[in-house]
Amino acid sequence: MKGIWKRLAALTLVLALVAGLAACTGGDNSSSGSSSQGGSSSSEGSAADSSTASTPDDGEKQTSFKIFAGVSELSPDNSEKPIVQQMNEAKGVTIEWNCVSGDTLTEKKNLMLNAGSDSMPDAFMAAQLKDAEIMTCGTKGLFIPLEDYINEETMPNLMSVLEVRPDALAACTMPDGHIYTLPNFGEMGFEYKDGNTYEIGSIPQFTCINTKWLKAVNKEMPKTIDELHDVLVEFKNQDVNGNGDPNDEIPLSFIFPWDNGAWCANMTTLWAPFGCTDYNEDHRAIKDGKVYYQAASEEYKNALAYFHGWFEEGLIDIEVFSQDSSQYIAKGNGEDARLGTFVWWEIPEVVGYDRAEDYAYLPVLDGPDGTHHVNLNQTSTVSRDQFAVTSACKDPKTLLNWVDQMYDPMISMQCNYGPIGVFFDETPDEKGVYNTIELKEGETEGELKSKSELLGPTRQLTEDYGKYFYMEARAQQRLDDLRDFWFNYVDSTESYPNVVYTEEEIDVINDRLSDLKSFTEERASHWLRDGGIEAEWDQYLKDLDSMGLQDVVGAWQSAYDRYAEALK
Amino acid sequence: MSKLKSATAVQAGHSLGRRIAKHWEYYLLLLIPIVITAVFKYAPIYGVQIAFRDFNPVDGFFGSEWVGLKWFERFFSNYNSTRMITNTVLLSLYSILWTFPIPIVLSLFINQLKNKKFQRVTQTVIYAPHFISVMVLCGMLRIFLSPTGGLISTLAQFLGAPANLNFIDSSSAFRTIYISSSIWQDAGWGTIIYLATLSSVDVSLHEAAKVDGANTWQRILHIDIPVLVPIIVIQLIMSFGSLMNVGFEKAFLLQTPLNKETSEIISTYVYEQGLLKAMYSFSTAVNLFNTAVNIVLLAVVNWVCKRLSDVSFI
Repeated sequence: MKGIWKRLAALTLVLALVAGLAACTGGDNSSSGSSSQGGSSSSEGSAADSSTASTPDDGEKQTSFKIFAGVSELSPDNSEKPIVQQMNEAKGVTIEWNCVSGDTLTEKKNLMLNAGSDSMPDAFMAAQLKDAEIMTCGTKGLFIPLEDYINEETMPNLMSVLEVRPDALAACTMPDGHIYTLPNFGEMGFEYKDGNTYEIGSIPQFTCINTKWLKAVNKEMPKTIDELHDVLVEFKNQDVNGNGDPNDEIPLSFIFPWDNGAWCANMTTLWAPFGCTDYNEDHRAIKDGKVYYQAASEEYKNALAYFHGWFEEGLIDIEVFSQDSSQYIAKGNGEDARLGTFVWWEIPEVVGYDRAEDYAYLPVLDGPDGTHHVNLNQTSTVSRDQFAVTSACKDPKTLLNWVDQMYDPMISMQCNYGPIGVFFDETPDEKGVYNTIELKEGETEGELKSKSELLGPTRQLTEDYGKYFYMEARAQQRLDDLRDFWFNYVDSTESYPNVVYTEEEIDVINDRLSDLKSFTEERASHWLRDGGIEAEWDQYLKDLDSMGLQDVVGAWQSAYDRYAEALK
Repeated sequence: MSKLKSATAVQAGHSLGRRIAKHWEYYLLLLIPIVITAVFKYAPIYGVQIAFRDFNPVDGFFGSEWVGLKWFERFFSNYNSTRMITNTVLLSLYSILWTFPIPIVLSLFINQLKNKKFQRVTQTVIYAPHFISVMVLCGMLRIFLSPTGGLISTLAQFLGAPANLNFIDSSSAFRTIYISSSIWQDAGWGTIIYLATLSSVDVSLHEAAKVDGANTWQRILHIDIPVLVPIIVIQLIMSFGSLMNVGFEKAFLLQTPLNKETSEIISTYVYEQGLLKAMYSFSTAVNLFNTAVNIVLLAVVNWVCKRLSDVSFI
């Protein structure tokens, strides 16, 4: 009797397990095997999703979409955003969002793109698609060409933007002649006295110095790098913040390698005395039409060699290599002023509004030979990484018609910053233009924006400012600072333009550049901290070449040459 | 007796089918692990082929173009491939060297404790750190080692070290940090298996030794250690089995651009290339190389152990 029960129990257990496993593998097989019909079978399978259960045939209207979307770290899920609900109601669609932020975005996106079409969303929005990805996914049929849908009927708002910015589509056209991604317009610039418009990111790193401390050590505002050195030595040796501890002052702080928010906090404005600034993430620079890798230039070497001396002397914050932007800002915001000089794109965000009065911009300094040189950063007003539709989408027309709303000026403004009533005043002023809302105690504009914005393809045109809404005060301030202060130090306004690469060029760059960059960053940190650049520089150049630096520079150059040729 | 046993074995050996029919319950139970292993360990091996293909998602595992040894060539011509291999091997060798003997010594000591209550408390106390997740541990390490106000740096300065010691960013300190924190975290947990073995030692052996006048040291040397040897060997083989698979999470979480000189190991590189840069074929190739080295090492260690102590797996 007992034996039978035992056997029965064992039998059921094993059967259950085997059945479970079989089910698992069965599911697996169907997903990898039937890649083309995978989409429809999956929507049949998920019966919970009632609206897709009525699988639409071709041409039939699909009203439920899945979108993989990048969001900022403070942001709630896109479905909770009022602007999204408004857009959904207007077009009668529902969106199933998969929102990802920060570091995991790249990882999740890669897995999505490579997992086969079973789990493929209908669209990728604000997913930081790289050229190489758009290219591969486009030619392999994972992303569908969008040019047939860009018309008055489906995308009226985009068409009205294209009327005033006809070049934008060319910037989104891949080498095979198709458009796989929608353009995103992000214009925020100022007109300089040479008649050209320069974007807000042309000089992203503003050096700032504590003028109160300058007075305390009886020094004038430095004009050369040596004068700054003497000032920093005083900052280090004296108790300039007057809290009784002569050791808590940090003469110079910044963020060094290229992650953690270094785009606006790196030190390279201080390299201008040695003949270069290195604002571009890819270390790409151009002079008289000749493209080169900034991190392989003599200027770069001299700057690093010089600043290693400062590191030895203890003038540079030892945490520059490890701190992230929040730690950095915490240093500026602490109880006592601790930063002598720092780098950021504005003063108040780092040290707070009260202390900001004690700081002023430190001008671009002259080097040992009495000169300086600033390379402007490459800026773009049209980007192509914001919205792609995949082959899993059965009704691209409805989806694109939905996303087209984001090109409506009023909706676009609320996507870029936040809803009316949250980021903007409830009612516009007498001219019908919206103002930024008064901030609550302890809130910053940046924080409010990242909590309420909706990332995606939008229009932000120069003529929209003052017509629909006023530019944020801090952005306007920054543009004024650029025009009236920083650009006085710019001799050459040449910067690398937004070029279109060929397929081979994309391949070469995608293949080589990331290794080159990580090699450079590792070496640069090492030289800044430990020195030894004189002895190791030649080997470094040789290593770069063996890793294919010349191929990458060649690709940049030939893309630039085509661009320059087209302008003639 | 032994004759009888072998006779039945031979008799039953005539037909596997009959044996299965007779003891079908046992074979049914055996089926579970076999199916699990086959499905989760063997079936996915087909994916290894992408190490020799230029994988792209649309063509899939079977449709992507064959590229031969392209990815392997690329790895070995990489500027830091030698460094990565050296780092991986050194980190695991040093890990084994330092972390392996400590649980053995610890368990020999704990076993000698007379007060059973105190023994239990000690065991619990030294197990505890094992339950801290790697993520949290690395966060703690970063805080403790912070050059400004970190516990360890402050202590070091108090003892006369120069100010602003930055351990976390110095490549020479990486292995020490990695290994010493491993010892702190896992040495206690590692004693479990040894203590269990020691508790099975016949008490009469110890009593007899005492009567013969053996002191504690002699009893450890001649009774406890010989009992532990087989289990030590098995543990050693197993730890060599994962030699090239040193904890990825920990190395990755403790990595900074400045300590990459020693902290960049094959698994962190595979993660970077595979998951972050989506170069699946390349990272598969690198990991395949890693696994191949591992299998060779495992076989060598197994062979050595067999020669030395008659204990082996394969």
